[in-house]
Amino acid sequence: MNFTDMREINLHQSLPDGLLVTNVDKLLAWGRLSSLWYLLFGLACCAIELMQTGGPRADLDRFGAVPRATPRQADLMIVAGTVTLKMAKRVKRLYEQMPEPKYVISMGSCANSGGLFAYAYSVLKGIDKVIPVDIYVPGCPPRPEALTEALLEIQKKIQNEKYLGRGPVAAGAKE
Amino acid sequence: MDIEEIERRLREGVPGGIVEIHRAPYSPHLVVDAAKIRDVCRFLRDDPALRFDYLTHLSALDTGATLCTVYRVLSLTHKRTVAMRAYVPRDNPVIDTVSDIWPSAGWFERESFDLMGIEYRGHPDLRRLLLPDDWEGHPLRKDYVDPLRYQDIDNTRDYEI
Repeated sequence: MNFTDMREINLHQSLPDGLLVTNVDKLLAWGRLSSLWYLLFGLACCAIELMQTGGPRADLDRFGAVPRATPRQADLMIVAGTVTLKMAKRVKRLYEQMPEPKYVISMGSCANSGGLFAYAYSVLKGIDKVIPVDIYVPGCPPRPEALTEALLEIQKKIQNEKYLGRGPVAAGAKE
Repeated sequence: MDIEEIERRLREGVPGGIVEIHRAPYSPHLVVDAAKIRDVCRFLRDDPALRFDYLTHLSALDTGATLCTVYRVLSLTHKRTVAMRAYVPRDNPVIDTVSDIWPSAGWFERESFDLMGIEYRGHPDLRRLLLPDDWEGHPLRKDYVDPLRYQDIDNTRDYEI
Protein backbone atom coordinates (compact mmCIF):
# COMPACT_ATOMS: atom_id res chain seq x y z
CA MET A 1 0.00 0.00 0.00
CA ASN A 2 1.17 3.49 -0.74
CA PHE A 3 0.10 6.40 1.33
CA THR A 4 0.31 10.02 0.35
CA ASP A 5 -1.10 11.30 3.57
CA MET A 6 0.68 9.57 6.43
CA ARG A 7 -2.04 10.62 8.81
CA GLU A 8 -4.38 8.21 7.10
CA ILE A 9 -2.38 5.19 8.12
CA ASN A 10 -4.43 2.78 10.14
CA LEU A 11 -2.05 0.02 11.08
CA HIS A 12 -4.75 -2.49 11.91
CA GLN A 13 -6.38 -2.29 8.49
CA SER A 14 -3.46 -1.48 6.24
CA LEU A 15 -1.00 -4.18 7.14
CA PRO A 16 -2.68 -7.47 6.35
CA ASP A 17 0.53 -8.82 4.83
CA GLY A 18 2.88 -6.99 7.15
CA LEU A 19 3.95 -4.83 4.24
CA LEU A 20 4.02 -1.07 3.99
CA VAL A 21 5.47 0.95 1.14
CA THR A 22 6.43 4.52 1.87
CA ASN A 23 9.59 6.55 2.11
CA VAL A 24 11.67 7.21 5.15
CA ASP A 25 10.93 10.93 5.30
CA LYS A 26 7.22 10.24 5.41
CA LEU A 27 7.61 7.53 7.98
CA LEU A 28 9.67 9.80 10.20
CA ALA A 29 7.16 12.60 9.69
CA TRP A 30 4.40 10.22 10.66
CA GLY A 31 6.26 9.32 13.80
CA ARG A 32 6.90 12.92 14.71
CA LEU A 33 3.42 14.20 14.03
CA SER A 34 1.90 11.33 15.94
CA SER A 35 3.78 12.08 19.13
CA LEU A 36 3.64 15.83 19.55
CA TRP A 37 4.45 16.48 23.15
CA TYR A 38 3.31 19.93 24.12
CA LEU A 39 4.82 21.90 26.93
CA LEU A 40 2.58 21.79 29.98
CA PHE A 41 2.28 25.48 30.50
CA GLY A 42 -0.59 27.93 30.71
CA LEU A 43 -0.68 31.62 31.42
CA ALA A 44 -4.27 32.76 31.86
CA CYS A 45 -7.87 31.79 31.15
CA CYS A 46 -6.89 30.21 27.80
CA ALA A 47 -5.10 27.60 29.89
CA ILE A 48 -8.51 26.46 31.15
CA GLU A 49 -9.57 25.74 27.58
CA LEU A 50 -6.19 24.10 26.99
CA MET A 51 -6.95 21.76 29.88
CA GLN A 52 -10.36 21.04 28.38
CA THR A 53 -8.67 20.24 25.09
CA GLY A 54 -6.42 17.78 26.85
CA GLY A 55 -9.33 16.41 28.84
CA PRO A 56 -11.53 13.44 27.95
CA ARG A 57 -14.11 15.27 25.81
CA ALA A 58 -11.82 16.84 23.19
CA ASP A 59 -8.99 14.45 24.10
CA LEU A 60 -5.88 15.75 22.36
CA ASP A 61 -4.25 12.46 23.36
CA ARG A 62 -5.99 10.63 20.51
CA PHE A 63 -3.73 12.54 18.11
CA GLY A 64 -0.68 11.50 20.09
CA ALA A 65 -0.31 14.84 21.82
CA VAL A 66 0.35 14.64 25.52
CA PRO A 67 1.50 17.32 27.95
CA ARG A 68 5.16 17.28 28.92
CA ALA A 69 6.21 19.13 32.02
CA THR A 70 9.67 20.04 30.80
CA PRO A 71 10.65 22.13 27.77
CA ARG A 72 13.64 19.87 27.15
CA GLN A 73 11.41 17.03 25.99
CA ALA A 74 8.62 19.05 24.37
CA ASP A 75 8.02 19.51 20.63
CA LEU A 76 5.23 22.02 20.78
CA MET A 77 4.65 25.14 22.81
CA ILE A 78 1.07 26.31 23.19
CA VAL A 79 1.15 29.89 24.42
CA ALA A 80 -2.19 29.92 26.21
CA GLY A 81 -2.98 33.31 27.65
CA THR A 82 -1.90 36.86 28.36
CA VAL A 83 1.84 37.35 28.26
CA THR A 84 3.19 40.17 30.39
CA LEU A 85 6.53 41.72 29.54
CA LYS A 86 7.91 40.16 32.70
CA MET A 87 6.70 36.73 31.59
CA ALA A 88 7.77 37.26 27.97
CA LYS A 89 11.41 36.81 28.93
CA ARG A 90 10.55 33.52 30.66
CA VAL A 91 8.48 32.32 27.69
CA LYS A 92 11.44 33.02 25.43
CA ARG A 93 13.75 31.13 27.77
CA LEU A 94 11.39 28.13 27.76
CA TYR A 95 11.23 28.23 23.97
CA GLU A 96 15.00 28.30 23.72
CA GLN A 97 15.23 25.26 25.99
CA MET A 98 13.08 23.18 23.66
CA PRO A 99 15.00 20.95 21.23
CA GLU A 100 14.66 21.43 17.47
CA PRO A 101 12.46 20.88 15.61
CA LYS A 102 9.91 22.83 17.61
CA TYR A 103 6.58 24.44 16.95
CA VAL A 104 4.53 27.19 18.52
CA ILE A 105 0.78 27.67 18.67
CA SER A 106 -0.34 31.12 19.73
CA MET A 107 -3.64 30.49 21.47
CA GLY A 108 -6.21 33.25 21.86
CA SER A 109 -6.38 36.98 21.33
CA CYS A 110 -3.92 37.88 24.07
CA ALA A 111 -1.12 35.71 22.76
CA ASN A 112 -1.91 36.80 19.19
CA SER A 113 -1.94 40.53 19.70
CA GLY A 114 -2.30 41.52 23.35
CA GLY A 115 -6.05 41.21 22.89
CA LEU A 116 -8.13 42.76 25.61
CA PHE A 117 -4.98 44.13 27.23
CA ALA A 118 -3.47 45.71 24.14
CA TYR A 119 -3.54 49.11 25.83
CA ALA A 120 -1.83 47.94 28.99
CA TYR A 121 1.68 49.17 29.66
CA SER A 122 2.93 45.81 30.88
CA VAL A 123 1.39 43.34 28.43
CA LEU A 124 3.19 41.99 25.39
CA LYS A 125 1.47 42.94 22.13
CA GLY A 126 1.61 39.49 20.62
CA ILE A 127 3.91 36.57 21.39
CA ASP A 128 5.40 36.85 17.88
CA LYS A 129 7.36 39.84 19.12
CA VAL A 130 9.43 37.38 21.14
CA ILE A 131 9.29 33.94 19.52
CA PRO A 132 8.30 32.68 16.04
CA VAL A 133 4.75 31.38 15.75
CA ASP A 134 3.47 28.62 13.46
CA ILE A 135 -0.26 28.76 14.03
CA TYR A 136 -2.44 31.52 15.42
CA VAL A 137 -5.75 30.51 16.96
CA PRO A 138 -8.28 33.33 17.26
CA GLY A 139 -10.78 33.42 20.08
CA CYS A 140 -11.18 34.71 23.60
CA PRO A 141 -10.66 31.99 24.56
CA PRO A 142 -10.72 29.59 21.60
CA ARG A 143 -12.91 26.55 22.00
CA PRO A 144 -11.21 23.14 22.39
CA GLU A 145 -12.29 22.35 18.83
CA ALA A 146 -10.31 25.35 17.59
CA LEU A 147 -7.18 24.32 19.45
CA THR A 148 -7.58 20.76 18.15
CA GLU A 149 -7.75 22.20 14.65
CA ALA A 150 -4.52 24.08 15.30
CA LEU A 151 -2.83 20.85 16.36
CA LEU A 152 -4.02 19.18 13.14
CA GLU A 153 -2.57 22.11 11.18
CA ILE A 154 0.77 21.60 12.93
CA GLN A 155 0.58 17.92 12.00
CA LYS A 156 -0.09 18.86 8.39
CA LYS A 157 2.94 21.11 8.46
CA ILE A 158 5.17 18.39 9.91
CA GLN A 159 3.98 15.90 7.33
CA ASN A 160 5.40 18.04 4.52
CA GLU A 161 8.77 18.57 6.16
CA LYS A 162 11.90 16.63 5.37
CA TYR A 163 13.45 15.51 8.61
CA LEU A 164 16.51 13.79 7.12
CA GLY A 165 19.18 15.74 5.30
CA ARG A 166 17.89 18.94 6.70
CA GLY A 167 21.42 20.27 7.12
CA PRO A 168 22.64 22.44 9.94
CA VAL A 169 19.22 24.03 10.36
CA ALA A 170 16.80 21.52 11.78
CA ALA A 171 13.45 20.90 10.19
CA GLY A 172 10.88 23.26 11.58
CA ALA A 173 13.50 25.79 12.65
CA LYS A 174 12.65 29.40 12.02
CA GLU A 175 15.01 32.08 10.86
CA MET B 1 -19.64 53.43 67.40
CA ASP B 2 -19.72 55.46 64.21
CA ILE B 3 -16.90 57.34 62.52
CA GLU B 4 -17.43 60.46 64.66
CA GLU B 5 -16.88 58.48 67.84
CA ILE B 6 -13.82 56.81 66.37
CA GLU B 7 -12.50 60.24 65.45
CA ARG B 8 -13.19 61.64 68.94
CA ARG B 9 -11.40 58.77 70.56
CA LEU B 10 -8.45 59.12 68.18
CA ARG B 11 -8.20 62.86 68.87
CA GLU B 12 -7.90 62.08 72.58
CA GLY B 13 -5.46 59.23 72.08
CA VAL B 14 -3.22 60.79 69.43
CA PRO B 15 -3.38 64.61 69.59
CA GLY B 16 -2.95 66.12 66.14
CA GLY B 17 -3.17 62.74 64.45
CA ILE B 18 -6.43 63.40 62.63
CA VAL B 19 -6.47 66.25 60.14
CA GLU B 20 -10.11 66.09 59.15
CA ILE B 21 -13.07 63.79 58.82
CA HIS B 22 -14.47 63.25 55.38
CA ARG B 23 -18.12 62.28 55.19
CA ALA B 24 -18.48 61.04 51.67
CA PRO B 25 -21.80 59.19 51.44
CA TYR B 26 -20.28 56.09 49.87
CA SER B 27 -17.10 55.92 51.90
CA PRO B 28 -16.54 58.12 54.94
CA HIS B 29 -12.92 58.29 55.96
CA LEU B 30 -10.51 60.00 58.31
CA VAL B 31 -7.63 62.04 56.97
CA VAL B 32 -4.55 61.28 59.03
CA ASP B 33 -1.43 63.39 59.40
CA ALA B 34 1.17 61.39 57.48
CA ALA B 35 3.83 62.18 60.07
CA LYS B 36 1.73 60.54 62.79
CA ILE B 37 0.47 57.56 60.84
CA ARG B 38 2.25 55.05 63.06
CA ASP B 39 0.88 56.55 66.28
CA VAL B 40 -2.64 56.60 64.87
CA CYS B 41 -2.41 53.04 63.60
CA ARG B 42 -0.96 51.67 66.80
CA PHE B 43 -3.67 53.39 68.81
CA LEU B 44 -6.34 52.06 66.48
CA ARG B 45 -5.04 48.56 66.97
CA ASP B 46 -4.34 48.62 70.70
CA ASP B 47 -7.09 50.78 72.19
CA PRO B 48 -9.62 48.41 73.81
CA ALA B 49 -12.59 50.45 72.58
CA LEU B 50 -11.33 50.46 69.00
CA ARG B 51 -9.27 47.27 68.59
CA PHE B 52 -8.85 47.48 64.81
CA ASP B 53 -6.87 44.29 64.66
CA TYR B 54 -6.88 43.62 60.94
CA LEU B 55 -5.78 45.70 57.95
CA THR B 56 -8.04 44.50 55.15
CA HIS B 57 -6.63 46.75 52.48
CA LEU B 58 -4.01 49.34 51.71
CA SER B 59 -3.90 51.11 48.38
CA ALA B 60 -2.84 54.42 46.90
CA LEU B 61 -4.26 57.36 44.97
CA ASP B 62 -2.78 60.03 42.75
CA THR B 63 -4.63 63.27 43.41
CA GLY B 64 -2.34 65.47 41.33
CA ALA B 65 -0.38 67.61 43.78
CA THR B 66 -0.20 64.81 46.32
CA LEU B 67 -0.10 61.08 46.50
CA CYS B 68 -2.23 59.36 49.07
CA THR B 69 -2.17 56.05 50.88
CA VAL B 70 -5.58 54.61 51.73
CA TYR B 71 -5.94 52.29 54.70
CA ARG B 72 -9.01 50.23 55.48
CA VAL B 73 -8.97 48.47 58.80
CA LEU B 74 -11.37 46.05 60.39
CA SER B 75 -12.08 45.22 63.98
CA LEU B 76 -12.86 41.56 64.28
CA THR B 77 -13.49 42.17 67.97
CA HIS B 78 -16.09 44.92 67.56
CA LYS B 79 -17.18 44.03 64.02
CA ARG B 80 -16.66 47.43 62.40
CA THR B 81 -14.50 48.96 59.82
CA VAL B 82 -13.01 52.39 59.11
CA ALA B 83 -11.03 53.94 56.27
CA MET B 84 -8.17 56.41 56.54
CA ARG B 85 -6.16 58.45 54.12
CA ALA B 86 -2.70 59.94 54.53
CA TYR B 87 -1.52 62.47 51.96
CA VAL B 88 2.15 62.86 51.06
CA PRO B 89 3.71 65.45 48.73
CA ARG B 90 4.29 64.28 45.20
CA ASP B 91 7.89 65.45 45.07
CA ASN B 92 8.79 63.60 48.28
CA PRO B 93 6.35 60.73 48.71
CA VAL B 94 7.62 59.15 51.91
CA ILE B 95 5.53 57.74 54.75
CA ASP B 96 6.27 55.42 57.64
CA THR B 97 5.49 51.76 57.23
CA VAL B 98 2.71 50.08 59.19
CA SER B 99 3.88 46.59 58.26
CA ASP B 100 5.07 45.91 61.80
CA ILE B 101 1.69 46.97 63.20
CA TRP B 102 -0.35 44.89 60.75
CA PRO B 103 1.77 42.29 58.92
CA SER B 104 -0.73 42.23 56.05
CA ALA B 105 0.54 45.70 55.10
CA GLY B 106 3.81 44.16 53.93
CA TRP B 107 2.80 43.20 50.41
CA PHE B 108 0.25 46.01 50.10
CA GLU B 109 2.99 48.55 50.72
CA ARG B 110 5.22 46.84 48.20
CA GLU B 111 2.44 46.98 45.64
CA SER B 112 1.81 50.63 46.39
CA PHE B 113 5.53 51.34 46.11
CA ASP B 114 5.69 49.42 42.85
CA LEU B 115 2.75 51.01 41.08
CA MET B 116 2.46 54.44 42.72
CA GLY B 117 5.99 55.11 43.91
CA ILE B 118 5.24 55.86 47.54
CA GLU B 119 8.19 55.00 49.73
CA TYR B 120 7.40 53.26 53.01
CA ARG B 121 10.11 54.15 55.47
CA GLY B 122 11.04 51.22 57.69
CA HIS B 123 9.57 48.52 55.48
CA PRO B 124 11.74 45.42 55.85
CA ASP B 125 11.78 44.49 52.16
CA LEU B 126 10.64 47.35 49.96
CA ARG B 127 11.03 45.88 46.46
CA ARG B 128 8.67 45.92 43.51
CA LEU B 129 5.93 43.35 43.94
CA LEU B 130 4.43 42.91 40.47
CA LEU B 131 6.62 44.55 37.86
CA PRO B 132 10.18 43.44 37.08
CA ASP B 133 12.89 44.89 39.29
CA ASP B 134 14.42 46.88 36.44
CA TRP B 135 11.14 48.56 35.45
CA GLU B 136 11.28 52.33 35.22
CA GLY B 137 8.58 54.54 36.65
CA HIS B 138 5.36 53.93 38.53
CA PRO B 139 2.51 53.11 36.15
CA LEU B 140 -0.51 54.16 38.21
CA ARG B 141 0.64 57.76 38.44
CA LYS B 142 -1.40 60.04 36.22
CA ASP B 143 1.66 61.40 34.42
CA TYR B 144 3.03 57.97 33.56
CA VAL B 145 3.96 57.44 29.92
CA ASP B 146 3.79 53.88 28.59
CA PRO B 147 7.22 52.56 27.62
CA LEU B 148 7.82 51.77 23.95
CA ARG B 149 10.40 49.14 24.82
CA TYR B 150 11.18 46.89 27.72
CA GLN B 151 14.75 45.59 27.54
CA ASP B 152 14.96 44.16 24.01
CA ILE B 153 11.20 43.65 23.66
CA ASP B 154 9.20 45.98 21.43
CA ASN B 155 6.16 47.21 23.33
CA THR B 156 4.27 48.89 20.49
CA ARG B 157 1.21 47.62 18.66
CA ASP B 158 1.57 46.62 15.02
CA TYR B 159 -2.07 47.40 14.34
CA GLU B 160 -4.79 49.96 14.98
CA ILE B 161 -7.68 49.20 17.26
